This record gives sequence, structure tokens and C-alpha cells, in this order.
Amino acid sequence: MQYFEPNFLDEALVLLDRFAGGARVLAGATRLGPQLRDGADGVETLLNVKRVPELRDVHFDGVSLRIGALVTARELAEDALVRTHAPLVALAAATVGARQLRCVATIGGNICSGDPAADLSTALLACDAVCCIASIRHGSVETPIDRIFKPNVSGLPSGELLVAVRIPAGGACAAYQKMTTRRGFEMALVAVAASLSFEAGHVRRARIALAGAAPTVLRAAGAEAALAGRQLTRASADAAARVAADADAQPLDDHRASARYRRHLVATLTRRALLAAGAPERGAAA
Amino acid sequence: MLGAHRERPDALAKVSGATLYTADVALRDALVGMVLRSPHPFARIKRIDTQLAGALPGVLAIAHAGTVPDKRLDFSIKDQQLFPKTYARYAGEPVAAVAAESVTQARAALDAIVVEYEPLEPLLTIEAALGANAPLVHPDWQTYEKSDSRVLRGNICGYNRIRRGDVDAAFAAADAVVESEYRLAPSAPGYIEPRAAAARREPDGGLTVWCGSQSPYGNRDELAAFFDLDPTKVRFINQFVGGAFGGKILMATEWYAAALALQCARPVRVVWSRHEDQLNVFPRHGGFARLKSGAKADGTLLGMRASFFFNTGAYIGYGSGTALIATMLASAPYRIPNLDLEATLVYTNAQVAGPVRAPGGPQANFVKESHLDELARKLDIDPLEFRLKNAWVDGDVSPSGQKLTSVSVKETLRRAAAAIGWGKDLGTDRGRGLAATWWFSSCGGSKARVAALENGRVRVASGNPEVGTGSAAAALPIIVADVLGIDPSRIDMELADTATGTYDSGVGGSGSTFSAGQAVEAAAVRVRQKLLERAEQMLEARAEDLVLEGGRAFVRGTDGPGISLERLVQSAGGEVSEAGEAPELGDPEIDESLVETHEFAAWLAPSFTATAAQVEVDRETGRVSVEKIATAQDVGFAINPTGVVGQIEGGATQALGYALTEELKFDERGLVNANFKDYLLPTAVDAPSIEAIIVQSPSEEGPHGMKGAGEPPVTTPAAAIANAVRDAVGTAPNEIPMTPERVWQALQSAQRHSAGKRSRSTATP
Amino acid sequence: MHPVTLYVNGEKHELVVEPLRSLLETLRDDLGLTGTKEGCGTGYCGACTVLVGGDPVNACLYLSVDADRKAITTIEGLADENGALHPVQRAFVENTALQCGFCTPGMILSAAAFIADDPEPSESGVRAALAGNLCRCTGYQSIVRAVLDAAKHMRDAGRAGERPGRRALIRARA
Repeated sequence: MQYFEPNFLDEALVLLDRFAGGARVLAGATRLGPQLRDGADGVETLLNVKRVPELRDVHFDGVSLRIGALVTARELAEDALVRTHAPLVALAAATVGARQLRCVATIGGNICSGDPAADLSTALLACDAVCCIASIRHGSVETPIDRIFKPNVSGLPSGELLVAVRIPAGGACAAYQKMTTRRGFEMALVAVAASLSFEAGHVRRARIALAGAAPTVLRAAGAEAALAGRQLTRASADAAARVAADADAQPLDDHRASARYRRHLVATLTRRALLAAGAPERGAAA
Repeated sequence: MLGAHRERPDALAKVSGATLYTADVALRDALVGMVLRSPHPFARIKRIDTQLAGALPGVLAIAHAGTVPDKRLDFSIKDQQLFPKTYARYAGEPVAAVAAESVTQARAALDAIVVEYEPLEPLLTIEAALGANAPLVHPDWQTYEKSDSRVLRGNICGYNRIRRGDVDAAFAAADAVVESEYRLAPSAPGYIEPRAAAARREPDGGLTVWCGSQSPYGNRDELAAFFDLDPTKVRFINQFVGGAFGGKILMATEWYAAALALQCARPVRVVWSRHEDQLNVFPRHGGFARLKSGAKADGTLLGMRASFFFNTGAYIGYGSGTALIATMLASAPYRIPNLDLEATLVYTNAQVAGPVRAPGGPQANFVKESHLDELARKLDIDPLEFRLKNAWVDGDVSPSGQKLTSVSVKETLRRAAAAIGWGKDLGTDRGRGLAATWWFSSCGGSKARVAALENGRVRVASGNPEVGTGSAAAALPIIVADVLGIDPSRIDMELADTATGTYDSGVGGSGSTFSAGQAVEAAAVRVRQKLLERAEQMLEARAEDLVLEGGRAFVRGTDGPGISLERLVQSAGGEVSEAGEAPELGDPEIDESLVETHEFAAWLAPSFTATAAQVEVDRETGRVSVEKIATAQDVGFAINPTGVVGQIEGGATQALGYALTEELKFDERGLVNANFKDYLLPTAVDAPSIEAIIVQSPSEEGPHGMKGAGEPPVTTPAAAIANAVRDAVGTAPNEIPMTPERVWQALQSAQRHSAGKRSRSTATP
Repeated sequence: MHPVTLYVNGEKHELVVEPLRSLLETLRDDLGLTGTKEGCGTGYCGACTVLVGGDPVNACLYLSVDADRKAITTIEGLADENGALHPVQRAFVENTALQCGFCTPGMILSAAAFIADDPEPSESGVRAALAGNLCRCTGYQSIVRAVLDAAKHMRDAGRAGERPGRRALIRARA
């Protein structure tokens, strides 16, 4: 197996392009490491991109927050810029694994895992995040994050590198509700990320994303539509939650939980996330 | 000395990372040993071809059924070989092993071994195995030797029954009768150190084995007999063990390391990954149970019928205990005059279930205590009052007719209930639950040697391994120190090494301090005697006027300096060394007419334990948060209270895992969660606040009146949690673990049930 | 094969490793530091916890190549230059916060790193910080008590916020 540690972004892209389908990008290596040690399966080239400086930055330009692909969950949970301008991401990051995992797990790794229960991916979906992807073939491209998640697909198409994630600022009314079997350190059974913006006491825009409720993380578009323009009350939150559970979620039975229970969790956690996200607004209104 | 809280002597090395566990032992030139496992839950093995594998670079040994003696392992049913010859009976069953210079080469060798399987229809559940016309896990079972009076019938490999009086008449006379059924999932011991062993063939034809076993002497004897080796030339050097909990009594990695090492001149080390360990772990039995019991309106229990069915997996191993203990627990510790209790062990194509800490204990208690709470609720009697009313007292008899003494059921119940604040208001969706049980002590053979040395230190050899509890590392030195009147810090414990040490039957059955403690005490008493004889001479005093205290001998009541231990030993020739052994204790008397094919109906020095739990339930998600567990355990006498508290706290958290999150899951291909990602042990966040209450109601047989303490802590907390859930939200799952989904389902069912009732009651007659 | 320079407990080691070789394998097999344990190999038990630049990580997942030129502290390097136990180690002994001891090295390192960040932690804070370190023997209560004890001891001694493995960090900078 070949191994490279590119020092620059261009170097990384050239290598990715040259070795195409047999190349893998190593970030925190929390998933890829054990997988590869078990059996390489067509992987011929490893690119350890941790020396590439652009991948570690967190930068706010007044309009959006740009987070490098190698920023860790711990950094996301603690960074002042993230907590201010993308609080939903900070909230979700604090629930990833345990401390040890948070010190090495990266936002890029989380997105490229394709895991339908990935916390950061779910939060980013509810933040209208955009993926900054670079490749020799297409140069620098921005893709809305919901186009990245496809069932049974992990990682980007060959030759492409996730460089950063860009999040439009805002989202003070945000909440992340995560349900697991034990009380810590577990992939979500179901999780709901909610981000709301208000205008004149009504919900101007709702973003609701679901983890563990479908073959990929996904937006609960039906629930979002059900809430748009309405006041946030227990009743309207309930109604939106029901749409999320009955229409948006496509849960499957697996050894961890039944589809029926997951659907029920979607309803419960969506309602809780909406009410928690809206609490600052409701408190102000009261 | 006895009964005081002390720091553990092995703590310093453990916090410094200096303690050696089996995988840490440096072995020059060691080969890597790896195991090939059957991918099928049930298959005929048509052929194994290792030629290709044997020719690969770096491969120095290959072991399989054809290279080891054609014998069966020495269990109560001789149903198992070291490597299967004709049938592979569970997914993950080791069928061959290789030793090579590196991991890569070993893996290549495993890949190159050709095994031709003919997959057969597996029996994956008890129901399937008990079905009429079910195929047999052991088609040749009728040819198997068995060592006791057990039943072998189709896929049934164990059965026992305890009967007294007339349960049907009791039900007829009862004011309330409850019938329920429960399901129990198998669970893992969960030790953090995966299994590991190394073995080296010795020039004299013997074998040295490094391992972390609960029973190195038993292992040594079994291994030597199997491989036709002179047992005096087989040496088991036990290392510190990273947790065992009943999962490291039977050999696993030791077998494969030995089988490979006997084929070559270099040591072979077999260290399992967690994945491998889970595939071959000996789980706590799962299964199901049916209970029916009846009581009078005032709460007096009249009768109980219980049927347990346990999935014991592909081989019997050490699985028998679970069924024997379940019937002894099903009605205990309550006075029930009419009983019909039975337990059945069933072969299936699954992992071999084993004697995980308190085998049958958490299972039987979850079932019985949940059931009794249902009965108490039906009678509208407070669960504590209900239990106290029926609780055993001195003079009552066990299910098998054993007269009970030093009974402390009421005390443990009252103290646990008081600690949890029983009766005080809690608020919505919070609740409290109780459970009580009894357990036994064990006094397997144990020998020891105590040697007082010229330098003032005392060397103690005991074959009892230190698996974590502190029995060997902490309690034994305390006992010796107490007898010799010195500080325990002057004692050096020798780890279990069968070449240089003394025999011990091993850790298990709540008997380490009980038996090894008596062995070291007997030896220490003899040493003390010799020392006092010297002191008599040197002080010109009579032995009965002398005391040994603070490291010296002096005349009682005097002020003089006396004579130091060092000088006494010097004058005795430089070393005073004596042997001791644990007494052979007979079994208590029982009424044989009450039991059927039951080899474990007499319980030595029984102990009593009760747990009270407090929980909060999130009705919507079904998540149970355990706020507090209070366990009151009668240990007879606490020689090492720090150790007892450690056992109670650890046991409570293990039981919490058993109650809420731990489950070995199987599908048609085998174990699904062979890792710690999906097999959910409690984390620090899951663990509750635990109050350990030591009750001391002395036994006649135990050293200083002690009763075995290692297993009771896991027996009752899961049941108490179940009852607390029932108290909080009116219902609890009849299935363990009580995952959030199962709690939610139970609430849904209860709602539907009561909605149905309501609609019936509002219908016009 | 890839050259790396590892500063482990203040000592410099120059090694050549395969890219996928975990830090755990390198520490145990190449450097003979067996205090760090493998409990699960997949980052779910924490027995392999070591500190890299003061942060707790699972050595079984952490690649040796990623540890290049970083200061690593294992349990063997926690005691100070004079061999005096770190307050967390001492507190574990005094509170009998261990039984079999297999999870103990990882647990101690996690705790030491945590109280450097949070010198006056709450009990729930301690539990959350140690969620990634499984213990099967103790039930965690004695461990939590020990960590709170150690934190108090350090505050009283004016050592609040002191980063563990100073020895390693000092020599690495030299």
C-alpha cells in the first residue's frame, strides 16, 4: 500500500487524482483505520492530509462560518466562533462518542462516513451547510450538503477532496436531541437537529434533520413545511413532529431498534427539539 | 486488623502501569497463534486440509482435530472435543489453529486452510430445539459418558425439580393468583482484558503456560491429562487477571496455545481481539421462564410453580450450575409451603453458556421478584410488607428442606429499603423497587504456605488467583497479618504458580476468601505457634501469657520491648514455614425426597442479600434512569470491608447493565454484536449512586463467621430496578434487558389494555 | 515504511513504522511500554487511553504517523521527575478506585487530563468526562470519588489546571 503525507492542498489533489478509485483519505482514522487493518479490499493508496493547513481552519467572514474538514468534534464543541455562529453544530459535536473520540474525530470524516446516524452530518443538514469540495477535474466546487448523502455510499467520488464546510451564520434558536440505549457513548438510535428562525413571533424558516430514521441522514422537509409561518406552540410542534415521523422518516428494523420505535422517537425528539430550539424566542415573547 | 478499611497492596503497581497481565509478559521468540472459526451455526465437517497452509512461509505449527488426542473434554457430559471432528456446532467455534512468525503470516495460513463444511439446519432457539421432530445438536448423545445423574433427552441436557406439598390445591385456596412469563437474553461477563495465553514446550517434555485464569490448578490437571503429560511437568504461571466474572474458569486461549506449542520448540502466544473474545465468550444463560403463584388476601404466600428453560448452547461446559441454582432461588428467600420448581437446560447451536458471576442469580431473581411484585399489587399490599411477611427467619427451611440458621432476610430488606427512603413521596414517573435473595458459600480445596523470614517479612503462597476482587491480594494478607500481629505491608503474596505454589480450587462460587482464607489462617496459626514456642524459651514465659503484636512477642500486660519477629525467626533457624489447608466441610442436610436429579440442593453457609432501587422513567422514550441502588448484603463477617464494598458497587453496576442495556444478539449467521460498540456495558454516566450496606450475621463454617461475598451483589439489583420501573409507571417489561424500546412497548401494551378495560366498563350491560 | 519521531514520557524515539500501525502497537511492541492496554481495539473501551499533547486519545485508533513530533504521555510517564505519584494516581490508591486494574491506566490518564481542563468539576462532569473509559469491576463510584479528591488536592496545593505529564512536555520542548 502506498502512503503519502501531502503538505499542500494542490499536492493532495494531484495525488487523489492520480490514484483515483484506489485512494482513501485518512482523517481521524477512527473508522478507516480498523477497517483497513482488517483487510484492505482494493485500497492501494492512503493520503494522510493532516499536514494540509487549509483543512484545520475555522474562519468567520461576517456572513458565513467556514470550518476546515479536519476540525475535530472537540474543537467544534468548544470553539467560540462555532458556538456563536453555528451553535447547532457545537451542540451536536458535544454528543459525539466520548472525550477521546472527540479529540480525533473530524467533521470531514463524519460527513464522508455516510453513516445514517452521524451527529455532525445531521446538524449540518439543519444548518443549510455547503460542502467545499476540490478536485483537479472540477476545481473548487460548492455543493449543498444534502446532495452528499446517498444510501450505502460513503466518501466522495474518486478524485474529490472535502476541504471545508461553509455554514450561513445565525441559528441561535437551535437544539439537538439524541436518543441512545445507554446514557452515553453510543451512535444515535434516532437524533433530531432543529434550527428555527422567527419573524414577528412566527416561524420564518424551520430546518429539521433526522439521524437514524432512514438509510441516510435526511431533512424532514414535510415537518419543516408544516411549521413554516406558524407560531411555535406545543400543538404546532406536535403536528410538525407527527409529519416528521409519519411522512419524512423512512426507518428500518435492525438489531438495535424496530422501525416502529424509531418512528415514535422521531415524533418525540422532533417535538422536544423544536420546543427547545424555540425556547429563547418564546421566552422573549412571554 | 480484620474488619478495617485498608488500601490494596497491589494498587501502587496498578496505578503505575507496572502490573503484568498475560499479554504483557515478555517472551523471547514467541510465535503468533491464531484460531480459525466455523462460519456456520451448524455444519458437518467433511474435510480439513492444511497442506497448503503448512507450506506457507513462517508457519511453524497447525493444530486441528487430527493433530490432538482423540479425546473428549472432561465435563459432566463428555460432549465436546478440543477441536470438533465431525460437527461444528456454533458459529465461531474454533476448528483449527496456526502458529506463525507474524500476524500477517498467521492470517495467511488461516486463509489457506481448506475446510469443507456441509451446512445443516441450525437450532437457534430453545423452542426450535424442543420442537417435536427437532434435529439433534448432538446426534450421538446416547453414546456420551456422563458423570452425574443428569437427564439427557433429545436436546435436553439437564433437568432438575424441587417439589413439596400440592401447588394446585394451594392455587385453589388462594385469594389471588398471578401467572406470568419472562424472557431473558444472554449476556457477556464483560471483562475488559480479552483472553490471552502463551505456552512453551519444555525440554523435559513438560509445558509452561502463562495465562490469567480463575482456576490454574484445575486447568493444569485437565490440560496434562488431555495431552498425556506428566502433571508435575506442566506449569501454569498465573498472571494478574483483568477481570474474569466466571468467564475465565474454562480454558480457551490456553488450549490453543498449548496445542500449538507442543508442535514446536518456541513459545506460542494467543491473544484474542475483543471480536474474537466475544465470539468464544461463555455467556450468562438466556432463556425463558413461566411462574405461577398464589397468596391469601393478607399476603401469605401459599404456593409457587416455576419452570425455567435455559439455552445452554452447543456444549454443556460448566453450564449446569445455572439450572440447579435457578430452582433453589425461584421461591427464596420466602416461606412458601407448596412448591413445584423445575429447570431445563437445552442444547442449541449457540455459544457455550457458562457460570458467569452468580449463574442463574440475576435471571431467577428478575423473574421471581417481578412476579411477586405483580402479586403484591394485585393484593394491594406494599411490596416491602409483602416480602417481610413471607421472609425466612431462623428455623425455616430452604426449598430442599435445609434448616436455615443465621437468617438475615428481614434485616437486609429493611436496611436496603430504609437507605432508599422507602415510603417517602417521589413524584410522577419515579419509583422504587425491592428484591431479595439468598446465595451460598463455597469451600473448595485450598492449601497455603506461610513463611516468616529473618528479615521480618512474611511470604505467603496461596494458589488462589487474584482476578481483581482483592481476595488474594488484599484479604489473605490481612488474615495472616492478624494472626501474626504484624502490619499487612510486611507480607509478600506469591501469585498462583502451580510449580512453586500450593493447590487451590480456584475463584468462583463465592469461595475465595472462604477457603483460601482458612488455608492461610491455618498455616499462619502454625507459624505463630512455632514463634511463640521460641518466645517462651527466650522470655522464659508461658505461651498463654504471651502476645504477638506490632511485630514482636511480649508478655501480656508488660511494658518491655519483648522480642522482635526477626529475632524469633533467627533463633528458630532462619525461616519458620508452615503449611495449612482449608477444612473439608460436609454439606448441610437436606430432605432428599423433595429433589429430583439435583446435585446442588445443599447450600453451605448461606448468605442473604436485598437491594432497593430508585428510578426515573421517561415515558415517551422508555429510558430508565437509575438514580440510586442500595444493597444490603449479609457477609457474615467482613474481613476486608473495602473489598466487600467494592464487590457490592461493582455488582450493582454490572446488574444495571444486565437490567437495561446488555444483550448478546444472534442472527442466522451468529453473533451480531461481537464488539464493545454494540454490546453496551454501563459507562460512568449510566452508573448510579450506590450505597453498600454490610450486614454481619455470622456463619458457623466460615473463617471468623464470614459468608461468601463475590456473587450476591449481582443477584438482586436488576430485579429491584424492574420493580422500581413498575412502581414508577405501573408496568415493566417481562423481558430483560429492559431497553428503552421494551419499556415503551410495555407502556403501550398497558395503555391498550386499560383502554380496553375502560371501553368495556363503559359499555351498557 | 515511514519514519517518525515520538516523544514519549519525555524521551525521544526515532522509529520506522507502517502507515497503519496504531500508536498502541508502537508503544507496547516497539517501546515495551505495556502499561497501555488493548481492551477492544476499536475505540470503545478507553483502556488504551494515552495523552497526545495533553489530550486523551484512544491509542488503538491513533496512527503512529500522526503522533510524529508530538508529546505523548503514557501511564508510565505520569509520575513526576522524582517518581512521586500524580495526585490522581495517589487518589486512586487511597480510595481503592480499582480492582483488577486493567482499565486503570487509561482511566487515570483521562481523569488527569480532565481535571487540568476543569479544576473544580462536578460529579456529573467527572462521569461525563470518563464516559469513554469502561470499568467492569468497580461500578465507578470509587473512581469518581478519587477524581474529585484529586481535583481538590490539586486546588489546595495551588496546582489547579496543571497539565499532566509535565515531564514529557518539558523534555519535548527542550
